[in-house]
Amino acid sequence: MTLTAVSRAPLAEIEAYRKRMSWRFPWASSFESEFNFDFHVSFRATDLAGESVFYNFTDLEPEQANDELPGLSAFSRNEAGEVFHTYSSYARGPEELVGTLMILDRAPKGRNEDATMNFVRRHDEYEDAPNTSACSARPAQPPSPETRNA
Amino acid sequence: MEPHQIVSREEWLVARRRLLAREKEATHLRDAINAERLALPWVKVEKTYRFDTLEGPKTLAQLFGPRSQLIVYHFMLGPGWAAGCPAAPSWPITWMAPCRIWSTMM
Repeated sequence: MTLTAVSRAPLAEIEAYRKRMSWRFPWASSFESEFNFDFHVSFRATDLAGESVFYNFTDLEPEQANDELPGLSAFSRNEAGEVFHTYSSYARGPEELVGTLMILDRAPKGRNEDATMNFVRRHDEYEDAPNTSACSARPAQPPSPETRNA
Repeated sequence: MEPHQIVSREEWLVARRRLLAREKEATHLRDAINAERLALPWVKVEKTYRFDTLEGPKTLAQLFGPRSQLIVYHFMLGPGWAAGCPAAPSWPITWMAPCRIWSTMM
C-alpha cells in the first residue's frame, strides 16, 4: 500500500512547510486539479457563500465549514490501470490514525482539551522548542479568517 | 483535574474489570466495523486527476507507485496558507500529529 498526503496548496508552498516541519512523507499538490473539491475536502468561496456545503456525507451550514477540511480516502487500482474509490472518512473519523491521541486517552488527564485537539502545536512553537536553524522559517502569524477564506 | 476516589487494590480491580468489559465491547465492535468497511462497494474514478509531486506531474493512478492500494491523507493546507498556517487552535494543525508519526514510519 502507498500512503501519501495531498493538499491543494501549490507544491512550492507544500515544500516550504515540509522543510519547516522536517517531514519526509510523500506529499502531492492538487492545486490545478478538481480532486480536493470532488472528494469534499476543499470548498470554493461560492460554496461557502451558499446555503450549505457537503462534508462528512452531510450538508453543513457554511459557518461550520472552512475552505479546507481534513479527511482520508482510499483507492484501489487493478491490472488494467483502472482506479476505484473505496473509502473516505472525514472530521473525527480518522482519529484513530493519531496514535498520540490513543496514548493520551490512557493518561490520567486524558486529552485534557476543551476543543478538539486545541492543545497541538507545531514542533517549533512550544515554549521549550530548540532554536530553529538559520534556514528554518520562523513560525508565521496566523492569518485572519477573512484572508484564509478569500 | 477532577478529584478521584482513592480505593484499595481489590476495589480498583472490580472497577477496572467493569471497564475492561466495555473496552472489549469496543474492540469487537471495531472488528465488526472494519469488516463492514472492507465490504463497502467501490466507485470507479472516471476523471483523470493531475498532481504536482517532487518527482514531476502524476495522475491519481501514478500516485499508487508500483502498488495496488493507495491511501490519500487530505492534508489541510490551502493555497496561501504556507506563509500563514493558523498557529492558534484550529483544524489545520489537527493532522500534524499523524503526520509526525507517519514521518517516523516512512
